[in-house]
Amino acid sequence: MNTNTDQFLLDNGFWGWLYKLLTPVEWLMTQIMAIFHKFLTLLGMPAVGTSWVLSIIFLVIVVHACILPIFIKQMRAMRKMQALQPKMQHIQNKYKGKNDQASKDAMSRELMKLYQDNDANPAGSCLPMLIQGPVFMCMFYVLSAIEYIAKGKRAPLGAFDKATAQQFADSSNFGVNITTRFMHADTHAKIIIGIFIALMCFFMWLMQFYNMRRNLPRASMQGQQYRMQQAMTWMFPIMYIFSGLNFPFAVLIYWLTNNVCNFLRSLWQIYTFPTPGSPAAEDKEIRDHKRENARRKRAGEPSLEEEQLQKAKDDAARRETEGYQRKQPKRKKKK
Amino acid sequence: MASATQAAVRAIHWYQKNISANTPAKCRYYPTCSNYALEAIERFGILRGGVLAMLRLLRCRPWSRGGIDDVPQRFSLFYRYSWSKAHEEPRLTPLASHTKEMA
Repeated sequence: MNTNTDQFLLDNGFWGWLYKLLTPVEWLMTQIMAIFHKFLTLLGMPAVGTSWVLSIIFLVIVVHACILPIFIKQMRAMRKMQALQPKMQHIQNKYKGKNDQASKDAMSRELMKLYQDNDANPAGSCLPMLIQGPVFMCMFYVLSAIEYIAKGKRAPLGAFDKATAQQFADSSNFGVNITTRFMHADTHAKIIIGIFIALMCFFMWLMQFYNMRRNLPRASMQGQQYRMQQAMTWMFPIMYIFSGLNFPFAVLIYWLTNNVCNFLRSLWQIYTFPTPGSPAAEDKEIRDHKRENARRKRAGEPSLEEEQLQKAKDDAARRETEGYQRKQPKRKKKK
Repeated sequence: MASATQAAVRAIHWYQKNISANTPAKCRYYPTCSNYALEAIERFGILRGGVLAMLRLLRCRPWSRGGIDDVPQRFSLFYRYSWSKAHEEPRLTPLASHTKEMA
């Protein structure tokens, strides 16, 4: 990718056009990094070195903080849909076996009304995922461009003029310059970059693996499709090994932090909003049960078990006196 | 103008048959945007109906609420607002005149 070091190849052809479109995002990214970097130097960190690495990490955190609210909203919507399930089934049963256009129409209308009244909608958006793609592309572009800005081969981009870019290009992490690529590195750098690629792929794999093990309903944990999914958990990390070899070290730092953040977020998601029927959901049920009992204990109320026992005892006593037969309702005597 | 209307209707039918039929149902609104566009163009013509359809497409965003959103009985760009004279409460049953058209 980078054999001709005199020219910035990402500015050519279709990709050049696409990156031109994304310029506002790129500009914003450079500003965020530059501002955080200024803040760090203000605290007394050297302008060249770790401060730039921390700025990259800070950028990842900013991006994730922007996505998180959408993410949470989406999970809330999913939960609402689950809660609406009984009512939806009620409506669907009402129109069971009716295949004419008017009934179908009426059913869709009623379902829509139900969603609207409860502020839930089945058409969840894939916006968070759609955002992450271009954001990562911009990041890749900016971090790749810096090298060339520093050399004066490319026009300045946002907050990165030639001098700033030079500072950035001179920075290093674990003794490796952050513009180095695996292909053009010495042995020490190759080892460090290799470790970063391995960690990055590992976190990606771990996230998918954990998701599959913990957050899939037990019913779907078998069969052809499940095995396909299992194979897929290996495919993406392995694909990323090859692209990782071509990326500057700075991009790898961004990517590793990003994957760690993704992993933490999915851990949290599986803990708080597990898919119903999955092992994580079973654990959550036990946890919620314990929590409820603890709350009742503090409030001095009988625990869930005691309440159940009391109910069973009452039922038994009632059976003793009234017999096992359910009593038929009696008609009131007419006056 | 009549030919433009026909072309638009044919294009929407083509979309419904070839593109929409191959993707899972995933609409925030009822009727779907394409059905809405068909009805709007049929009732108000290509220009006014087309504008209504465009506005409807723009209303389908991740954070919009969705729900029942019929073509208004009388034309207005602001029929979604409750202060508009053309505003209608969402109907649970389609109007009789509509069902005749669909059958």
